[in-house]
Amino acid sequence: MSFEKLPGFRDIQIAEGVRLSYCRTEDFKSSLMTVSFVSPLDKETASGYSLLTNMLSLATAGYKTMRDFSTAKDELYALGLDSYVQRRGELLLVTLELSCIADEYTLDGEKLLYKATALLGEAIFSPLLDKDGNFPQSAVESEKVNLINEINSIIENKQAYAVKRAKELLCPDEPFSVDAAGSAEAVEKLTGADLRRYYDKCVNELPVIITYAGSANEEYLRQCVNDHLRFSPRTGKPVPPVTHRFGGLKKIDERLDMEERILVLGFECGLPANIYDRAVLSVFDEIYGGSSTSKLFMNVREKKGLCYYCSSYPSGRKNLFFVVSAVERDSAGQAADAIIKETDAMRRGDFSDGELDQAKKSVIRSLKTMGSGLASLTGYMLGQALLGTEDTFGSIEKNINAIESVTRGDVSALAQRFKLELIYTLG
Amino acid sequence: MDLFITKENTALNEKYYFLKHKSGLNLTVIPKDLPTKYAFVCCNFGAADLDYSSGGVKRSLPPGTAHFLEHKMFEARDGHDSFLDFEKFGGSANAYTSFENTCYFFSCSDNFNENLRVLLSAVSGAHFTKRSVDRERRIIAREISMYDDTPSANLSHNLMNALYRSHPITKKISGTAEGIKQITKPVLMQAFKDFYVPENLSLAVCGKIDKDLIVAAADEFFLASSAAFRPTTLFPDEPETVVRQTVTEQAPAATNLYSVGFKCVPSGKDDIEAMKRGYAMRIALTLVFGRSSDFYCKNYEKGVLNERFYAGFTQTRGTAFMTFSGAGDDPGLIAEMITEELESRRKTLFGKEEFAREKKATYADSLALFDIAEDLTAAYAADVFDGYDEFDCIEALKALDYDYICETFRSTASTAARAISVITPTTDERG
Repeated sequence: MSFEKLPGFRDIQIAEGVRLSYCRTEDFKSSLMTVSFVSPLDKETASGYSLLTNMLSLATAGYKTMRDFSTAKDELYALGLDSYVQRRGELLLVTLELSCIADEYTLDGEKLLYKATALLGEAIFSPLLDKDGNFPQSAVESEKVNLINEINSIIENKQAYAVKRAKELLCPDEPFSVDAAGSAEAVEKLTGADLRRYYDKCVNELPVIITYAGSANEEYLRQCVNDHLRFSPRTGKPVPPVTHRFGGLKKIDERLDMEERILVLGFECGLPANIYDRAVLSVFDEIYGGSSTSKLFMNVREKKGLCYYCSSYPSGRKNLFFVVSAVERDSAGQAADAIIKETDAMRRGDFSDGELDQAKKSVIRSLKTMGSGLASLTGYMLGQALLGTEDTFGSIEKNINAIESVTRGDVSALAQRFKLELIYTLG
Repeated sequence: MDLFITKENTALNEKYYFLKHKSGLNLTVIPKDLPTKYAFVCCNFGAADLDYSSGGVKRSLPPGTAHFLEHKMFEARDGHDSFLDFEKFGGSANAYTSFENTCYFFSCSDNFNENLRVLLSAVSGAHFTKRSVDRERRIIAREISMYDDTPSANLSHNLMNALYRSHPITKKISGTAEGIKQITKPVLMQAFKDFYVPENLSLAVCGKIDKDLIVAAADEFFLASSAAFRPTTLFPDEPETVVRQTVTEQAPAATNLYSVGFKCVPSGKDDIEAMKRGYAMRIALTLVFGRSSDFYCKNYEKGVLNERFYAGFTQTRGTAFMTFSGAGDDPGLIAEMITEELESRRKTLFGKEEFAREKKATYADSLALFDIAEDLTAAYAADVFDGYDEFDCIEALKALDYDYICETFRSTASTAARAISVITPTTDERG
């Protein structure tokens, strides 16, 4: 394959526990920066972090009302400044994301990134607090209502809801089943003083990962970060995932008023321990159910006409693998059998050398073309930081080498470790 | 000899090349130095093209035909799936159908020419069999069920049926499970013959790509002699009034979902004037209902509105409407508040300072398109049929003045024809 340029990543340790990864690129008219605080995913704390992100998006000490804060963003070319929680395996990330147009494209040549980072710093270091130093209770109460509605609205997305239920049923006592958005019951109990404790934990203790992709050079970026994102050193280390124990096959059907039925199969597949295991898993996924030429798509959808989609989702940092499909109400059993049949085919190594080769090329291609979008660049940097990779740029080649060396024996050996643990239907 | 016309916008540091191929096919090449290359074929035939006149003959298609055809076009000559060919050449392909058009596209890093030939081969000929059409109907029925289980899709579909009597926008893009039984092989072949003519197709590519190779590929698949023109789509006359004022449906949901619609007078043509009107309304609605507006901030703080609230203005051929959607306890009250705000702001209008701020914000938003090469290519492929391009859009936006925005808002944002669509939660969520 011919690729003329790979993204030039650089990693800088700003302080202990504070990492900046960046990629300078002049291919875009805007830039993207993320600041993430990394916490273990935990039932007790997820709701607090989640509600905290609502509060940080709302106002700051300097922009006390929502209107003031929104107007400040509009003044800076309607920059995007969002705060949200996201999960990566059994980690919860409290993330603030800044997107703004590049300085070169402002109408009057202003130093927009510098001003934008100042506003990001304001959102992080100067939250709006009451006289006791807590988040104001009245705003907390109304954000609780909003967050509870948001948590409950997952029912509107049947596939997401079914996957959430499947995780709860498969790992009832593991962090993996915790929803990063939190739970309505826990959100209900939170106070402004609780949120202050979650806030302090983020700003003073949790490891911080900053990513940036855009046209700023290192000197300018460092100036923005040094002036506006001054994090103190911290020692918190990311926690390894909890190993899932196979609990035997569960078959669970749940009712919901809907036209079709969502089918989720959950497999235990052995924890990917290193770069090579992850490469095997991604090649397996590509052949099995991760593309529109995969076995599941071609056979369960195209040949048998059982569904509109039938896709597989490996959980990156956990030894679980899901297949999700939406089927006619009476065909759930037939579809589950067809999916299991394709899993058996993978176990037997029943795929061609051509399929293996194409799958490897496709996974490598997605690595080599990440420079086509800002979000894929920052996403990769964040992923590597979470894996503890010291050299993001060097990791591209290491990942490519690992994928190239995957053999058909590796792929079928992985399939042989697959143990079906859940057949869940919703509808 | 280079026959392409070059269009350039130096302020944006962007350019593209355009050529009307001898077959009538529209060719656009966007040079970009990215590791991924993109190609889009846009057919100016969408879900709204149901009744039409072709060479003096009037024809009607069952709702869902354009979408069904999209599903079948990737079936290659001997019945095999074109996706396999894309895979062989490392291309990642997909397609979608809107009310306006049908798009087929791929992205790749290598073998661009091979992938392009797979794409052009797919859209330049129809090769399906009765059997494969029957099998596809089953897959599409599953897709329809998926949308039927999506409350936001039903909310919007119900609103269109409350606002409009028989305009194609009242139909679902993919049709209904019952209705698609009428879509047979002969129906699909007729639609293909009438609409998939070079004049009605546009190919846009983006990346480091040799223009001559694009012309060579077009020569291979589209003959110079094809002289067919696009049929004229016929739209029914619509009254100025709405069909129903309220439509309510139950579905699994956390809270009431609402979409309030106001029917506006449609722009006569889908041209540059309509585009300017769209921008003006977008800026005006953001000033009145956006995240920094009095209306939004005040009602957010009261707990009446939340982050799901959204105000928009849409125009299609023969329609124009404002929609206000969100989730909240009392949709009737919210509809009244929106109506009052529209009426009041049509009189008081906007401050010049907030106007200037919002114009800058909309300019920044428009720049974002140039950073997403895939969306940019799609936009260029479709623009050909509207008679303006993305540079025209940016320049029109920069040129919009305060008086024009005020006048457009005053004349467009009438509250006379209002309808409300509501989804209420089913009481028994889980059994």
